[in-house]
Amino acid sequence: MIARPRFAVLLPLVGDTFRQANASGISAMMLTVTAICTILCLSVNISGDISLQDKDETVYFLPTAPESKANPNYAVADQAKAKSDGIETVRGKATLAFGLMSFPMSRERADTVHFLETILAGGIAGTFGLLLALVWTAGFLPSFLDPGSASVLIAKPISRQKLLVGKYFSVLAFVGLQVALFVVLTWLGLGIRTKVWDATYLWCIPLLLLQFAVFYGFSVLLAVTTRSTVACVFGSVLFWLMSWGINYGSVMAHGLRESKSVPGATVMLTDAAYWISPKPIDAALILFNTLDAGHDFEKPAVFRFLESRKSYSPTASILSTLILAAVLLAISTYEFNETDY
Amino acid sequence: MTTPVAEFVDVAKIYRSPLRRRRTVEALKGVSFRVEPGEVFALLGPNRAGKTTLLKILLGLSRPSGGDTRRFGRSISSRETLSSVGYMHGNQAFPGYLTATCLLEFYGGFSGIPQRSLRAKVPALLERMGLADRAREPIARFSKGMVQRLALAQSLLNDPELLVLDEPMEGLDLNARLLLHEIIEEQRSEGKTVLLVSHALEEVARICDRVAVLVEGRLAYLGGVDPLLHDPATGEERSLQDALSPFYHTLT
Repeated sequence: MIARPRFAVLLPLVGDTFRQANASGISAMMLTVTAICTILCLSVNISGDISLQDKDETVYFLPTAPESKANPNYAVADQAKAKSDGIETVRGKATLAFGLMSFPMSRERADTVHFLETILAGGIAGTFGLLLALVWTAGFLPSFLDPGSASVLIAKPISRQKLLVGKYFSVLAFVGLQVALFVVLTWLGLGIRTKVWDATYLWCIPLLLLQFAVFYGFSVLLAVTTRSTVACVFGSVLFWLMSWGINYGSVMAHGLRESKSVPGATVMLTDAAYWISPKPIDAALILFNTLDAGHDFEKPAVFRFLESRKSYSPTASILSTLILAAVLLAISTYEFNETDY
Repeated sequence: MTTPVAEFVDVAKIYRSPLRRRRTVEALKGVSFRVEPGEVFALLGPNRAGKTTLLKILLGLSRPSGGDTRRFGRSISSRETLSSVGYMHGNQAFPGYLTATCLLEFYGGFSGIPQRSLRAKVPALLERMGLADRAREPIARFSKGMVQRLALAQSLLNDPELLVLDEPMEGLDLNARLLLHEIIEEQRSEGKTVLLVSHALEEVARICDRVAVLVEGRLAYLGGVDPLLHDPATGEERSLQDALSPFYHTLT
């Protein structure tokens, strides 16, 4: 018997997944999205800003457009009054796309960078990027499990579990690298241009990867049972939408329970569904709080409802998501073991 | 008494429809025989006779519904013995994005062959298969015959004690067929075993020691090739095709 190092199975599968991603153009597509966002970050320019005196200092805004329409001299008069009262007014401006787009800026540049990072993490990577990654990687497993190529692998002295779990983690490694590249490069881009280095933004790498891990677990289950890329694409997107629905339904049912407009049985049912399904709203809230996005955006009602729940705990949410990913992988492994090739 | 390389005792296989569980197909109905070390053994029979199913059970690709199957005297659930088996799939579909070299290194890694010896072995095997000049090309550009030669190279990576070949002649040109004969002869001379499924009866007659003929999942004949090549009634020589035609006609 030849003794194998622990990662002897994983490394060739990781290499194979990266080659598969290169050959199918998925690497290039993901890198293109990252490159566009990095260039956008490198095109940011901030001028006319002033630093806050301390971290918790409140930023006030002087009256602007509506009043100035009624009285064109209002803003100017207001500025003059502020100056005479000893108030320092800030006329900052941030530009994007090398000056093509510009918007007025709050007092400190760190706020603007923070605002952009929240949009990049929550909007682009967390929603658009996650869906694209799910769709683009959906074909990896079905082609790997095709009898023409998988039969020879299964006839090797290696267990089917190791093969499937190894392939799952190799896809996670690929997506993890892409997420890390996206986050680190946009962070560097913004940092280089603005000199603001907010490391909390980097926390979205593990948070986004965790979300992908659980949804991809379902895609693996579909791949093992159907070996169809189409089923994996539509199935995983449908599962993603369904998870949003379940998570939203559960949070709202709890929120409305106090007004007694929702029966207790419904709350129990939605609660059960909540614990056994992925929690994209929880994940979005964890990301929102990690990035301190409440500084720039009003916290959505669903987040407030969720936080008011006694049973809500970010740790429990992350742990149950991890358990769900493990359960999906265990079911897939069982199914793969039982399949005749 | 030597331990058989492969042993089937009353092996049965029933395929069930995934949606309608009551709908079943009996692919194997109590098949029993042994493949001894050093012999070149062929599984013959018409389509859907259960030949490939039997190979799949031996290789752990498919689960038997009944009976006992052993590889090198050990249960087929023990996967360690697979490190002494080389397998060439009948309908090979290698990932088109891999080059011939990458593919052999990838599959060889799962056989437990150290990377250093793989790096020495792969170019030599590609050279032997006449693929050395295409070693760095993606397999997507290969012809069917080239893929078959690559599949043969893959099955030889671990110097197997048992070489399992499923329809190995398909898509091979004359030179490649001669090479395959040469490899099978080498295996035999080294005391290694070859188990093959084929419809190329002339070649089977030339290279095999024993055959098992399966018809509708049952063992219809088990024995040497030579007795089949002589008509028992007249003693005249005949082709293997003529000898086996009664088995094939039972289906019509």
